[in-house]
Amino acid sequence: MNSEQVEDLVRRAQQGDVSAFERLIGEHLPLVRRFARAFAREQEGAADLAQDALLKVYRSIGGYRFQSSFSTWLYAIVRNVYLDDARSRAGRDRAAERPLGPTAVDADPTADPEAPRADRRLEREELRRLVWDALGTIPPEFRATLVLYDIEGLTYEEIAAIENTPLGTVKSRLSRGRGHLRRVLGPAAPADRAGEIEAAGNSAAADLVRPERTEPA
Amino acid sequence: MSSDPNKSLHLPEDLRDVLVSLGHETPPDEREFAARLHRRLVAAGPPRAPGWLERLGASGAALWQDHSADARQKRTLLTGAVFGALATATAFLMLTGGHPGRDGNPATGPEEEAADVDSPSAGPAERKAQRAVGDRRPTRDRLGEDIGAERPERVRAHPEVPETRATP
Repeated sequence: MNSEQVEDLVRRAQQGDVSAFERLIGEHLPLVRRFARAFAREQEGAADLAQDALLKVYRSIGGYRFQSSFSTWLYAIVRNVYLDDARSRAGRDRAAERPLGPTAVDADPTADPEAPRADRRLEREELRRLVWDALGTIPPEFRATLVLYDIEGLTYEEIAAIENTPLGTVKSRLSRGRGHLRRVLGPAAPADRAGEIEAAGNSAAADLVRPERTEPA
Repeated sequence: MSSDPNKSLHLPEDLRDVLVSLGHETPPDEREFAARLHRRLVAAGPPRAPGWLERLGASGAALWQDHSADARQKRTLLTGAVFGALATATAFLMLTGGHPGRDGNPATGPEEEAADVDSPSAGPAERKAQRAVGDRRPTRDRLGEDIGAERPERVRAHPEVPETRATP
């Protein structure tokens, strides 16, 4: 969609054309929904959260003045809705910074070394669920940056525009978010833990908790 | 915590792969989601246009953002220099009374202003032309005697005045 088409759709949406708005957000829906997944406990909650955010976008579109790209403006609103929701829930369930217990990985049904290929898929699914859960424990600001960079593949500049912060802040948030994720996924002594898990036959999970390899300078 | 903001903590390769794969996930029930969203959008009615207060707020916010961006990019020095130049120019104009001179230059002082009032048409070139032949300023030697007074006036030759014609 080129910029003229976007401008035309925005103007129509500002007049109350719902179908124009739906076309406008169509290509952003997967990102908005995945982004919501990091801020909700389960898939249903993520769908509700994404709907609320998109409704807010629709209500605010009259104020869009073409000063930034539409996607930046959209993601900025969506992010704010998610952060507000996370903050309002923070008082109710403060589950942050709790490393996942040993059972979270050991309970993996695919730990059997003889596991067939179908079970490997299950293992990946379990890993994904584990990572989604771990993401949910990261402080919201760091989580948003980490999701946008590491999962959605946006650039530092794009994230800085969405978050309206300097590049240095984006990098700092990303670094802290990653550190938090690693702490949550791994126990105090990751090396021992990795060996333990590998011995149980779950090499992928072991790699997750293994300390970071030193990269050549 | 002293973390270098320019150096993000690296993730293990496998974890990075898992994160990337999360980015390729297609959220479930796309049609159901779209249908429900459509119903809610229709029920919400048309988006309202921002009022003057909201527009003012948005303009203020944009201005503030620009200012913050300038401050982040160390443009305050430039702004200070511009303001300084403007203040200097204003002060200069106020000191000189704000009246430019005849040639576009500011007047140099009250004496000249007064002289101009007395003989408004007498410019420097005209004053020179008004000086008559022989109307010479006294030239004095070391002892203070007027040299010009002792020396007779040399009359220049003029074709129409017979007295001035040189006799061979």
